[in-house]
Amino acid sequence: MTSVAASHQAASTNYVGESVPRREDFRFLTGTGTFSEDIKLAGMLHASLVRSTLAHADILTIETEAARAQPGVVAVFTAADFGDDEMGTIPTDWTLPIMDGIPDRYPLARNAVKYVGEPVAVVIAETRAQADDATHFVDVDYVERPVVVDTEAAAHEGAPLVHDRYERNTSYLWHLGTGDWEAVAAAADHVIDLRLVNQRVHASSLEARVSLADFQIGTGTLTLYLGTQNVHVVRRNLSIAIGIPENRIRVVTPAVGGAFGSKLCLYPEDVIVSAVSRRLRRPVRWAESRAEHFTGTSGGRDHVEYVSLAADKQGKIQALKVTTYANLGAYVSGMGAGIPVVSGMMFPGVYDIAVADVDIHGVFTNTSTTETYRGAGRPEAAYLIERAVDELAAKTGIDRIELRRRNFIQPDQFPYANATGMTYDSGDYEKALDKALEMIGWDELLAEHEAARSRGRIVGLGLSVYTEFCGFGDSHQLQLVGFDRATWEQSVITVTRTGSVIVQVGIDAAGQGHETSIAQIVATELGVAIDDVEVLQGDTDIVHFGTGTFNSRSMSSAGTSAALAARKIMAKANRLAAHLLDVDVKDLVHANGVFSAGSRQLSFEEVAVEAWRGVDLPDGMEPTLKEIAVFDPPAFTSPFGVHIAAVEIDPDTGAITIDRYVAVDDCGNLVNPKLANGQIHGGVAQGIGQALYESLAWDEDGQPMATSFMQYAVPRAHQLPRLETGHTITPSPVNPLGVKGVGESGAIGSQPAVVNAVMDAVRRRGVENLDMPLTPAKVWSELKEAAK
Amino acid sequence: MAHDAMTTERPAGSHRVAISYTLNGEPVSCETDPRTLLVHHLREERNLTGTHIGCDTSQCGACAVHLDGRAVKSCTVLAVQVDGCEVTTIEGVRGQEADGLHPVQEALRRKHGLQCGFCTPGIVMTALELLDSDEPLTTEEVQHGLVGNICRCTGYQNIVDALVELSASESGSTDD
Amino acid sequence: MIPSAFAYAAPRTLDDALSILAANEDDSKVMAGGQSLIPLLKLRLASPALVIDISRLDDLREIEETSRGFKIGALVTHEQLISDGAITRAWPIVKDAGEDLADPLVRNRGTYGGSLAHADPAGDWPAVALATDVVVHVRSLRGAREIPINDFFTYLFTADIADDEILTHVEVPEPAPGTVSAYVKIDHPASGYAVAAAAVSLVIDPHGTCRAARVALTGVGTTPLRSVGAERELEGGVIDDDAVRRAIEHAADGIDVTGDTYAPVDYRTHLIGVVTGRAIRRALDRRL
Repeated sequence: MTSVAASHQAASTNYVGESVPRREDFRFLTGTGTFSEDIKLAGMLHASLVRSTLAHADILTIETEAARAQPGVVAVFTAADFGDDEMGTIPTDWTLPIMDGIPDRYPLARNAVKYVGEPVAVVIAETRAQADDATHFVDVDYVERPVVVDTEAAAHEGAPLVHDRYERNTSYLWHLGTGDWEAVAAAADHVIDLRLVNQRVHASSLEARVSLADFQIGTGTLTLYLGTQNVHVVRRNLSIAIGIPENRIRVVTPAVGGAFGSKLCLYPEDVIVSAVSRRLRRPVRWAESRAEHFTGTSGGRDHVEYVSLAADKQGKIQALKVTTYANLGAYVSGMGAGIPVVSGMMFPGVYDIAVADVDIHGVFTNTSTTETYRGAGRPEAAYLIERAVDELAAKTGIDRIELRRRNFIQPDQFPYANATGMTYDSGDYEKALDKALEMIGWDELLAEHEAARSRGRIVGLGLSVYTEFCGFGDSHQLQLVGFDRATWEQSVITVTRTGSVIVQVGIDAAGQGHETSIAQIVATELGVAIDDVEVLQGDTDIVHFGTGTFNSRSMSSAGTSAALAARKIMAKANRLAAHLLDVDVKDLVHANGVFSAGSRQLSFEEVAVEAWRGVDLPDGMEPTLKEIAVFDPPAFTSPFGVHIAAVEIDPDTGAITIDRYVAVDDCGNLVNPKLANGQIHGGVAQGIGQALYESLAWDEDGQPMATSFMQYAVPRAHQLPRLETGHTITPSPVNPLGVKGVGESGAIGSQPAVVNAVMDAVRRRGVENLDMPLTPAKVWSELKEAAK
Repeated sequence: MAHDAMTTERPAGSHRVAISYTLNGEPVSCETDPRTLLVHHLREERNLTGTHIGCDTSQCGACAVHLDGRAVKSCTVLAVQVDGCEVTTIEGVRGQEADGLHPVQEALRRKHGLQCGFCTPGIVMTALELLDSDEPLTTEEVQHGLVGNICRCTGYQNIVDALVELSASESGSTDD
Repeated sequence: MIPSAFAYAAPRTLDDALSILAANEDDSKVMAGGQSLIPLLKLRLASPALVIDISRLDDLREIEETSRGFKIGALVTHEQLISDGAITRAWPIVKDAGEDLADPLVRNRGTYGGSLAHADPAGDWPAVALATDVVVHVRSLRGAREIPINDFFTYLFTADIADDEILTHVEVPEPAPGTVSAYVKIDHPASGYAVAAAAVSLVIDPHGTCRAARVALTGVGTTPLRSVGAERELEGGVIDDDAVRRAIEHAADGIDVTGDTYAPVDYRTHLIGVVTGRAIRRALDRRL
């Protein structure tokens, strides 16, 4: 059998490594991308929530009669209207083995409220306006209780208790490390101490959350549409909370308008609309306001950290000690409890430090919950160690570049197990450092800064060298710390009769462009045109299993599983093609979608047709080209990089300008360089946002101080520097694609680089420490104080 | 007009007002509640969901549309106010290319000036007005022109580069 | 977010508007561009029974040059004002402030008159109006009234406009010979509102002596206000470096400065001097 169609030279199908334009773009540019709130169902009702106005109180009574009488109102519900079997507590995905369980968190508060914004009652009406109107007629009678907001204060004796059963509001105290800090520190030539605050910030994706539940009584099935990073975890946790088995729940995430970790867990509102839809047998939509988003959707970071380093005369760091107070918020959300711990595992950073002594306190306060936010633990770790190393350089007088070089883990030490229990897969920090220094012209800038200082200007140069972990695996290690999500990812590939390819993959993109990058991988493996590959995700009825998009795992886990499934397809297609061409498989050549043996050729489509027809197959071969591959990463990947910022401070106002910004990131092999760069841009923008502008805070009564973009300063176009980006490539040895992950690197390297640059500028004027965000008022006050 | 009948009594339930206007070139006549924001009217009553809601406080620009040729925030306009006006939404933006993309949209695509795409329709509507100038725009001018649009994904650099480059190549002349 | 229900009137004549307002003065809001009012309605910080939309009053849409200066109708938008060559040549301060006000989309819709009537203590136009010494014209069924801008802002978000009155136009005087003006703002990174801003108008005679100085501040107190201290240091002498220094030093004299978490009192007090000094220098740079 010889094909005519395939006899011409086929175009290259090597898409991996190319900046292929995104297939997602057309729909978003034209306003035809479907986001959750764009879905409208017949008979749909609207939910509006009555939320706690107090940070801590017992609920005496909730009067709903007046609200029920309002125009358009269909129902008003409180916790009392649902049993545990209909609206149970919200499960988490990460409970550390040492934790005394988690506090019950009901979707609608029972008996008490623990933070401002906690749902207390829900009004269901024919229109959103009517639902909103009627919430003002629900009357809640509270008895106030003492409030605790400050994380460190909450962890000390005598603080008001958020939950009576947790002494000192402490959910856990987790110890990490190895060796004897006390002994090393006592004998060390230098010891530095710093107290750092890594403030609460908020992902604040531009699309807030939306949940639309549709219970069908005829089939007993519930469909939930929402913007999430993981439909399968939502399905599982929703099943637990409302008692509908997983095989009768369908979770769909259409386009997601940004997530950054904030859309990873099951939220109270998701359960509420589901339970209400089941009760009323009508679709129910809840759409979050921006104020609700700031007060109810989980934020990230919020650690107070005491760090000490001990070093010898040459600046070799001998030991690290850290005490962290991590704010969990009023409850334990999703992965919230685990983040401070994995942060602790990254405290040594890129340095070969033998001794570590780390205590992490997970603490409850009367604030909204904390969760994964871009970087989830690694930004805190990179900030801590990079601030501390600069402090050590300042104290010892050793040049900060030289000091870092003396302490780097060397390329021949990988895989490297650090003193806090994390293993890094690969790295070459000198290479990235040299490249970054060259890109920014470090020595020339230092000289320019000296000259500028002599003219009274306040300028500074700062860097960070970071490594992190991505790809969430291995599963064994994570199970030991109570991680209750899978670490594997699966892909199913189906080749249709006409040779088009369907990939079902268990991740859920929120702007990363995975439909394009996964298609690049599969098209390359199969040797077909990329336009012939369709990537499906985000619907549990289409993709039955998956682990979701987080921890920059989508290429390393899902990309790998897609490649492995494609390789299974190719193995079968090769066997079939050899059979059809009547040659031995080893004599068959496959390139760019064409199978050939000498002058005889078959196209991919022709092989697909025969596989589908199933008439002329080798012995024992089943019809169709359809394969599944599940990839469980054997270890974490370790992206790394170097970020450098040059800043100037206006002495009159304290305002900071970032004049130059260089980011050199190593995320292993690049599937799509343009998209990878886009991830770095976005991550750096959020990191600079945390360094200079953003803070989600509460006053001492627990009232939120940022409830809109009028108070919470996400950076605007004119508030960010021009980014100069570069890459080094150190392939990961732990997956066949050699990719490491790129989604969070920008948010990890940027905060310490910017703050170190500012500290470089102000330290020589006597300022000893600054905490983020570096607002003009703070910088001005500290400079003034130091000048006294 | 029924001004004489106007009293201080709070209107009970729905209180509809008739409006007629031009939406993406087509005449529309309908009734709406005075408190209905233009963005809600477009999304819920006209089923044009390309205009998005990002912030509620007139900060983010995801809801940008053109009203009588000027870019405005449709979350800060009442639907009743567009009576007699011309409204253009992202669904009304067309290019001459076969794929239907306007040069502004094409430039954003070329430069990877969008990720999640939620802010993108608002960026396009704002950019169409911004680029309606005879002079090429500087980076600073484009950044300043986007001060009313929040993008949480891209860090703006690729958006700004796309618009600066387009402005230089066309000296800002756009097709509409 | 959806406002509370309200009735809506869109009168076509000023007389109609005044009649409707007179009949509903206790529970109505007048709306021009809506850029301040609609956000308040959405947050339900305002829930009037009636919104009177005056945007159909076409007579109020123009900027007119008169023998005494400029007459700015209540519906003149920010964008219209900063695009007007005549007024921005006479008063460059208008372009300074207008180009930095909110964002282009809000500027297309919001009005100069509405901003004054809204009397936001951190608004840009109120300070510019104080520096340019405008006169606000209001009308009701009872008649017309002129209010010198110095008397106009009475309290937080409160201007001297009675419940039955509508701001019809603002008269901006022709600048006296030798007038230079400038506006300098330090804005909040999120809201864009002034953390502190200074609007300065100086009349400098051919010998370099400052014959009149108006220094207005916004974002610093319960109303936009004038800096008596700075004006005193500038008027009557040549504005040399020492005079600027003294103006900076005394700019906050007698002002009850607002403090908040973003800008505590001592910092904002300091910023008053910074923006005042910068605005003075920017204005002086404009001398021919």
